[in-house]
Amino acid sequence: MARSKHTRPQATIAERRVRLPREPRGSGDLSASKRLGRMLKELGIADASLPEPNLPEPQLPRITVQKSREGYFHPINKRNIKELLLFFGERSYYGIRTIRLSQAPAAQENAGKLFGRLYIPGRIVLYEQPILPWYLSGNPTPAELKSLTDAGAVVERSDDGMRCVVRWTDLDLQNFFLFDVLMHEIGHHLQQQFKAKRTAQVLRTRDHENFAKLFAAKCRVEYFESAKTDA
Amino acid sequence: MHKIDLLGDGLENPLNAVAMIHAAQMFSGDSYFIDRKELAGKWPSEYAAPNVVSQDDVLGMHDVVLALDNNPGAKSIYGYRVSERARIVLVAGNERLGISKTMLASAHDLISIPMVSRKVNCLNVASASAIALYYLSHRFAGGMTTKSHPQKRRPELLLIGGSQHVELGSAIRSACAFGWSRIFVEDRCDVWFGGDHSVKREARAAARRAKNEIRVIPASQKFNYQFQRATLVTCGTQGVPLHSARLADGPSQLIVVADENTHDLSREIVTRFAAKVDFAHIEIPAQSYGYQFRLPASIVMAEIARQVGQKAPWRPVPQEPLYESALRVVGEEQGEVVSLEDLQDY
Repeated sequence: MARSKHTRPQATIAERRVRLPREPRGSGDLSASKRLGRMLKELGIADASLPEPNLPEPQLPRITVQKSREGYFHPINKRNIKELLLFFGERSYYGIRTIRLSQAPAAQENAGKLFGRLYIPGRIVLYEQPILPWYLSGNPTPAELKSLTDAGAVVERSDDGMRCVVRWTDLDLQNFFLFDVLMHEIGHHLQQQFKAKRTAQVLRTRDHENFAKLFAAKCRVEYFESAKTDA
Repeated sequence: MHKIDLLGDGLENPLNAVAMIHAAQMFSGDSYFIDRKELAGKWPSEYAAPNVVSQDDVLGMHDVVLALDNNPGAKSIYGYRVSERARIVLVAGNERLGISKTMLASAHDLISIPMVSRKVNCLNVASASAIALYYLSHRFAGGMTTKSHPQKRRPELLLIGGSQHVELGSAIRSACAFGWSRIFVEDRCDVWFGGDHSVKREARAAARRAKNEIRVIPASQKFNYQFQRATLVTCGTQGVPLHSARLADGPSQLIVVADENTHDLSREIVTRFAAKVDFAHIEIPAQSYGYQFRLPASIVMAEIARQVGQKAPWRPVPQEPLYESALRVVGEEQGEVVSLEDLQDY
């Protein structure tokens, strides 16, 4: 099927839509504005290109914080999230309505560790975590163990091999949450956002997860390389 | 507390019958047997003779007959109410065949103990009798709770076994029936993991089939379990009553049940179980009774299963896809796997 003439690159769409979220659909249409410019030029009234209106400031998603319970804490804060979203630009947060730092759901607090969730469309929840170190019943799978150790965690098993202890430095845990959790969920969001069926599953779960994982890893590399360059 | 009598209808195994007598003693009830399988002829000499009666005798002595069987249409024992004025008898049937048809026809109501496991759908008859007597004798509130993820509320279980291999085996069977896929066992008298039992274990391993399994993990008295919370359950008076205790706090909680013939939990170094330890006790009206580990252990597991709950019936609800980041942990593969065929012997 031919690509619609209204389709623009995702970055361009995002850049405009986060600034003008209520703009009518065809108003930024290049073909319409170019046609108008051509008509005006033929009539000798104005230049071929029309001036871009002054675009307002981009609207970041609403970030809310629920105070963590006793014995728990939020590894990242509102400021960390804003800085990260502004670094990666409009494409990373277009379509995200809210990001919430929430208390952990009770059913999850003892069964594995739930870090964050994406509720389609556009709602990300990041959960509080127990104060370090984490005492877990069982051991992470080899894949999970690798992702934890790559992110800087130290995982120790207990004597009976049935439980493990996970230790983090504050900075490593913060980076883990920013990239391996938040950007991972944003990776999931991006796949849904730029396909028309936003509230239905658009890819196989395995492909969805792989994309999100790669996206988070790429963001991490890009961010730290930029930090090195600035330094 | 309401007195309820116990009737064994056509039991084959005299040791099960002895255990049923002890179960009835625990709740100050009398026990009777309808001998359809020559039970009296196989009776062990060291125990007092069973009280053998006929079906008409039983019906004449009691106003209400409750049949304990897991037939379709049976009501759940959790939350089942009985009249305190009626003379009630609870009937438990043959280990293989269940209650006889004539007795079932005479029963006023049919009750069952909800099983969590799809494969192990029945308990040892004495364990089932003890559980039923416990819930019928006590007027607690509430049936089985309904939760969206009951498995996440299930605590870990530690059995401190005594010198009786059969008692520990029955307790393990109950654990399997109530939904545990793994339990810890401190086999201090070496009746399960060592000694002659190793021969039996090889036989069980040979007969093992993949679907009907529970993982029995050997634990040592020197273990430091590092749970967040532990609840030690006894038949004494220490702690809160069992039905008031919180027994569904998930895998960070350890429930400890010991064979009190050989172990006294109040003398344990409890800090090795968890950072926070509390006690609970089973309310047993009788002052003296024949203690058998499988009976209180099964009662504790039944109460845990009640509090853990069951999944709500499935209703299709259109849901948007949900994506999450979580750390998934898996249990270490230790211990031995015991199949249902082996547990049927208990």
